[in-house]
Order: sequence, then structure tokens, then C-alpha cells
Amino acid sequence: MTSRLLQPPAIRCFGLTKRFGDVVAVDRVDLTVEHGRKLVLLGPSGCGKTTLLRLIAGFEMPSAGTLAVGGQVVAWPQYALPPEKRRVGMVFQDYALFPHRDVRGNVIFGINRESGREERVREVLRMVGLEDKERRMPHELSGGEQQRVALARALAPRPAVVLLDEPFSNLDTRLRSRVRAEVKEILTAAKATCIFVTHDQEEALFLGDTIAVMAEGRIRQVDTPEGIFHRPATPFVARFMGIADFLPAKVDGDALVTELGLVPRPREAAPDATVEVMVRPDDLSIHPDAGSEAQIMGRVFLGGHYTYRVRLPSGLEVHSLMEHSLTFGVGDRVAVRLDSGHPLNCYVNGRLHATTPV
Amino acid sequence: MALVPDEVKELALSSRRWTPFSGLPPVVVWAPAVLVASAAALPLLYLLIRTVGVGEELPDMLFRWRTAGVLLRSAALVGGVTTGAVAMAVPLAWLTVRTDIPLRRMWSVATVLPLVIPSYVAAFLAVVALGPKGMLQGWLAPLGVERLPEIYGYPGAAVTLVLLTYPYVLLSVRGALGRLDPALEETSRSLGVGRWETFCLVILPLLRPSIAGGALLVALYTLSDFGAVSILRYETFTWAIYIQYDGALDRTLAAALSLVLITVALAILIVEGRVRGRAQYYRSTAGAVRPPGVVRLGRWKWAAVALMSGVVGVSVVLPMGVLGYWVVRGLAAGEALQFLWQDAFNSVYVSLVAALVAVAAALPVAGLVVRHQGRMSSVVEKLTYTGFALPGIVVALALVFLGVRYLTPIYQTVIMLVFAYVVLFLPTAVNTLRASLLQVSPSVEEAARCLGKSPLGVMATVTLPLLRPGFVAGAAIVFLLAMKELPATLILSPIGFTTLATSIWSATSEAFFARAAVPSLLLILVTAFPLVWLLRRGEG
Repeated sequence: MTSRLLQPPAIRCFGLTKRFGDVVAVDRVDLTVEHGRKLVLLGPSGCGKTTLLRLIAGFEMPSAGTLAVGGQVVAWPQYALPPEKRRVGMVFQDYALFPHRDVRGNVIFGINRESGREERVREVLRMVGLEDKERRMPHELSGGEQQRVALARALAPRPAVVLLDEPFSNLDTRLRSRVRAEVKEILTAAKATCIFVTHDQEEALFLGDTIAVMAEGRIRQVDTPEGIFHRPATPFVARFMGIADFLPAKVDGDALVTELGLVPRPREAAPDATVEVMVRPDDLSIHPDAGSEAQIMGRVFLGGHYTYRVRLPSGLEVHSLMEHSLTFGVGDRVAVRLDSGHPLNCYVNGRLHATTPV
Repeated sequence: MALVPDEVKELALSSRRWTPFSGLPPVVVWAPAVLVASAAALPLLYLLIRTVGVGEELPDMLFRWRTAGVLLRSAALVGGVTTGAVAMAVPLAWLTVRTDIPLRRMWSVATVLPLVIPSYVAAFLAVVALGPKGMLQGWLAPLGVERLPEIYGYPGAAVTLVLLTYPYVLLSVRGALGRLDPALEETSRSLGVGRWETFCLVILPLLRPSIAGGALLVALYTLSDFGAVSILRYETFTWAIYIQYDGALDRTLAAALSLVLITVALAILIVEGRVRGRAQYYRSTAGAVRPPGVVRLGRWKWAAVALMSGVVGVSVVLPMGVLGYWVVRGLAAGEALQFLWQDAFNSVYVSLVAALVAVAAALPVAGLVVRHQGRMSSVVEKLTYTGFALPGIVVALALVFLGVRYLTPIYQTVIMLVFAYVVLFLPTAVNTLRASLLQVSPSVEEAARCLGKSPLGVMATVTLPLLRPGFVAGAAIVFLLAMKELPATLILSPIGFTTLATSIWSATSEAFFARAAVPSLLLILVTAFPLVWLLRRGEG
């Protein structure tokens, strides 16, 4: 344990920036990934996460900032150590298997001048469970198997970090969750440091020890999956991690006054400040009330539950998750009750400010 | 920070992807590609300089001479042949791709075979079969038929060229029909539109780019054809240029006519671009689509077979039959064969060298165009494409001018001939290699870099091995085209250097048909092998 603490981090970015003409694809990114950790870069398409990955791999040259891999500085403005000298493994979205080489030929590609390469090939193929498919050509493998060959090939040279660019987007939904679990297991067993790129929040929650949410080239928040989900730093992050509604609230004495009633006031909120309180669909319940001004505008059936979209008297729309034992129809008048049972996040000027006391 | 639409960002990112070609020192990528492009554009440039040097007399010269007549005749031939080829090819393509016509596979191979018949061979076969005192006349004479319809002139040339060129449209349309997403047709039918209307409203418009692409090839083929028009005595640009080159002391008029010819070729390219329009964006989604359904012909089956037999009969069986008859007749009459082997060797040798040089020259250009998009690379690409619009006779003429003045050491050598072939067929080689390079995902090359290979190492272990099929296909096509090429071979062959093409030409121009028959058969057989191989590869 101590020796690991003394090791430099596997990846360290400092002010890393990449501009393409006027477009700032990656904007002043500071990021540290410790050995053996799994980081997920999460963000909508075009947010710069793939460019960040390509900067780390060495396929792009930074416009500003520095990057170190395993303690060695490999890139600074207008300089990039070539990818082949970086000890960075990469698993591509389309797997990028060499179509003219069989499974073994693919896996040995990166270590074919090293001693003990045959044992290493066997070792990584065993790790990914493909020891009996050494002689197959890539096109003879299923999507999941191709994925594992790509992984084995990336792991074979023992890279300092493995980068995975949207690795599951080419698989169909049913296969995806299984392959995802397999890949996570393999990477954990190999004690590999990895960075995933994805736009799928569910995938991010499943894979990462740490999640970094990106938007417009910037990292908006770095935290554990729980932290990202429960304490999103901005409304953008909150909405990206699932449905979230924001209720405007006014401080009044020891309480926050919202359209759905009173909430305890956090100590940090100044008197007469205006804050927004974040509520998730499971924080709100609805009840039949013919006299209410709130009305159901839509509903989505999720199997065990319904999500209702409700318009409040003020015109604000909020979402409520309800069990299917009691169903409402579109147009029904309902009372909306805020009964979360846990602290709620308060935002001032779009930043997480405090949480309400229970 | 400015908010940028996703597409713009994607564009910015995708065009800057790293590849071995952009990762190498720029000069290693640029220098060969620019060199190839300049060499390819050299003949055209020189022709321009030389003709413009004539000055004010140039318009006068063109007006005084019968330029307008030649221009009209060329345009009429191009228009007629292109229309005829399209009208013939579209139904044939549909029948061989979408219907249950009996012997479908056989028809689909047989209808492409006219591609191996050089135009000068087809023309001489037309003359011996249908000309005055020809075979048909001979058979009909006892019945009192004194005269057949004139084979020389427009009708003969147009029909001969239609029968030779329709496979270009056929192949292009057939490919598009096969790739068409059947869901489009089914959508139309489910919206209550009948089969025939669906064909007109949905399928035909979707086929427009492929029809235009095929028609472009036919139009350029017709415009640059020299063999058929001269044997069938229809005076178009190529023949006029050859006569001026061969007969006149001052070759400036030949150069001036060449420039007019190039202008017409460029006009055809522009028209094709317009017709193609934005339709290329409609191409169906990539990946394996369902094969389209088969249309049952029912009682129309036999009409379709009759049509197909007629086409194959006239365009393949008949010419080959006539050729076979003359081969037998020639051998029986004791035609000497000893020169033939030397001709065949010469043909194969120069064509093979040209094929290898062309694919080697195409590699840097294809690499630049695919992996390094930008203004400079599109200039390089356009320059290498000049050969596409240049008729063989024009390239040959330009090289003669250039050779006499500046390239005397290689003038009248085989090197000059190979150079002409490379200029003419480089676009084809670039196209094939480009298609094959497009299939190599850049991420495969990037993966190799991550695994410790230098840019050159990636080239050697990944890119080049994956391009091998493209090299072979490109070389095969260039070989096939070079074997058949006539005017450039005629003009640029060193004295005493004869090939199959030039021997056939000299025999036919002196009406020694029996002497022309054996080399024609040999030429057709040698070119048929690469063609059949290419076709089978395309299907697999």
C-alpha cells in the first residue's frame, strides 16, 4: 500500500487545452488518475471527451497545458511524444482489430520483440477467456469476443493506462450489459488503470470508481458515482445524471419557501437569498385531489413504476415517480407532495451551495 | 466560450485525425504525391503553353478549318451513343439484378463481356460482316440483294459504340441496384404506389447518380475513341487530330484541335456533375442491408430471355463468331504467326510495367487524398485526374511535342509509352487504391501506434498488407486498359516496336482482315482473364 502511495499518478493533466481553429475542444483540464483506478469521462457528444482521450494517447498535440503518464511528462504545448513511446493502451470504439491477423497475431503485435511473449499472449488470452480462439480471424468472432481481443491486445504490453473510447456503443443492448460486466471484471483482475469515455450515464455509474463530467470542453465535476448522482455540482450535471427538477425557493426565517411547501433552511443560505432546490422524481409523490390546480401532463410506463409529468400552478413542470398500484391519467388533477426523507441540494447562481438539514 | 454546433466540432475533429500519412514528416508525404501530380498534368500544361504561344492566329485557324463540322459530328456521336447505352443498360441491369429471369448468373457475366472487345476490333468485325462485299452481303447476294444499308458513317459508328460501351452503365447501375435499401421500395408500395410508378418515382431517381456515372464513362469513351470512328470513317475529333498529326507538316492545328477536344471533355464532366447533383447523399445506410426482393416475371419471362439473347447475340456471340471464322480462314490461308509472339510479348510487357508504375504512383496520391484532406490535397487529386478527361491521342500528341523538344533522351523509347499509359490510367489506379484505403479504418493504424509501432512500422505491418487487394485490382485494371489502348501506342511506340494493338490496326487499315483476326483473338483472350477475375472479385 505504501509503495503505491509513493508512485506518481498514472495520468496527470494540468491546464490541458486543445484548440482546432476557433473551436476549443478541450479547455484547461486538470485531472489526476491514480494507479489501478477507473475513471469515466462522461459527457454529451461533442463535449471534448474523445479529444481529451486522444491527447492522452498521443494522437493530438496540446495547444496549452501539460500531460504526464506514469510520472513522465509526455506532452506540452506544441510537443507530443509519439504514441508508440507512451505506454498507453487503447481500445477503440470499432475495436480496430487488424483484419489480416488472427487473434494471436493481434495480441502479440505490441510485444513481438519481447522475451516471454508467447507466455504473455497466453496469459492475457486466458484473462479474457479466449485461450481456445487463438487461431480465429477477427471476422469469425462475435462482437463481444472482438471486444475482448481488443482488450487483450491493449493489455498485453502492460501499459501504464488503458483508454477505452465508447467501448460498448457497437454492441446491442442485451449484449451490452453482459459485456460491460465482463470487461469491468477483467480490468479489475488485471489491476489496470483505465479511462473510459462514454455519453451513457448508466454505463458511467456502473464502470467508474470516479466520474468526470465534461461539457463544452471543460470538466464540470469529478467525484465518485454516488457523489455525482447525489451532489451534482451544477444543474447541467444533475440533468445529465437523470431527471432533475429545480424549484425556486426564498429564504424565510428557518425555512425555504417553495411552491411545494417548506424545506428546512441550510445554514449557508443568507437571509433573503434566492436559491433553487433540486428534486428527483422519487422525492415527489402525487395524490388524487380534484380541487388542485396541478395537473398531469404526461406519463411514461417503466414496468414497475410510472413517471408522471405534472404542471404546477406556477406553470413549472416537475416529475414524480410512483408505483403502478395507483395510476393516474393525463389531465387528472393531483396534489404534489415533497417527501424526500433525505437532504436536498440547494443551488445559487447555478452552483451547488448547500444541502438542507434533515 | 463560444457554443459550437456538434457537427462543426465533429468536422474539426475528424479532419484532423492522426494517421501514418500525416504523422510522417510532411515532405515524405507531399513530395511523391506532388511529383506524381505534376508529371500527370505535364502533357496538358505543355499543350496549353504551346497552343497559346501561337497567339492570335489560333481562332482564325480553327474557324478556317472545318472545326464546326467535326465538333457537331463528335457531339452527335457522343449524344447518340450515351443515350443508346443508357437506354439499353438500365433494363438489362434491372433484369439481371431484380428478376427471376432464367440463367440469371450467365446473363450477368455475358452482358459485361463486350468490355474486352477493343473498339478497333469491333469496328473491323462490323466492316467484314456487314460492309460492302462483306459476309452478310455474300450470303444475301444469291437472293438478289445488291446493297445493304451503309455501315460506314454515323449509324455504323454509333451502333458499334453502343454495343461496346453499354456495360459501363450496366455495371454502375447494377451495383447501385444491389445496394439500394429495399425498405425504400417497400415504403413506396405500402403508401399505395404501384410497382411501375414506384420504379419511376423512387428507384429511377435513386439510380440517377449511378446512371450519370456510367453515362460519363460512355461519353468520354466515345469522345476519345479513335479506332472505331476511323475504321468506320466517321470524322470526329480524334480522327481529325490523327490525320493532321500524321499528314500535315505543321502540327499546330492538331494541338489546337486537341485543346477543343479537351474543352468538350471538361464540359461533359461538368454536365455529369450537375446531373449527379446532390443525389449522392441519398445513398442508403452502410452495412449489410437486406437483399432486395426478386420480381417474378411470370409469362414475361420468355420475352426477357429473348431480349437478353438478342443483346448478347449481337454484342458478344456475333462478333466472336465472325472473328472465329476469320481466324480459321487466316490460318488456313497460311498467315504467318511468327511476328505475333513478339507483338504479344511487347503488349504484355509494356502494359505490365505501366500497371506497376501506375499503382506505385497512385499510392502517395491516394494516401494524401484519403488521410490528409485539405486544399493542397484536393489540388493534387484534381491534377492526377486530368488523364481521365484526356483522350489517348491528346496525351500522345502532347508527349510527342514535349519529347521532341525537351525529353529527347527518352523520346522514341518504351519509357515514353509507359509514361503516356500512366498519365492516362492513373485516375483509375488512384480510384481503386482510394476505395481500398477508405476501408482501412484510421483507428486500426492508431491501434498499431499505441502498440509501439513507428509511422513507417505501421505502414509496413498494417496499412500496406491491408491495401494488397487494392494494389492487385488497380494493376489489373490498368493492365487491361493499356493492352487495349490504340492511339497513344500508335503514336508513341518506338520505331519497330509493334504490339497486338498496333498490328491489328495496321492490318485492318490495309484491309488485311485475315491477318488482323489472330492478334485480335489473342488480345481479347489476354484481357478477358483480368476482367473475369475482377468481376468475380467484385461479386464475392
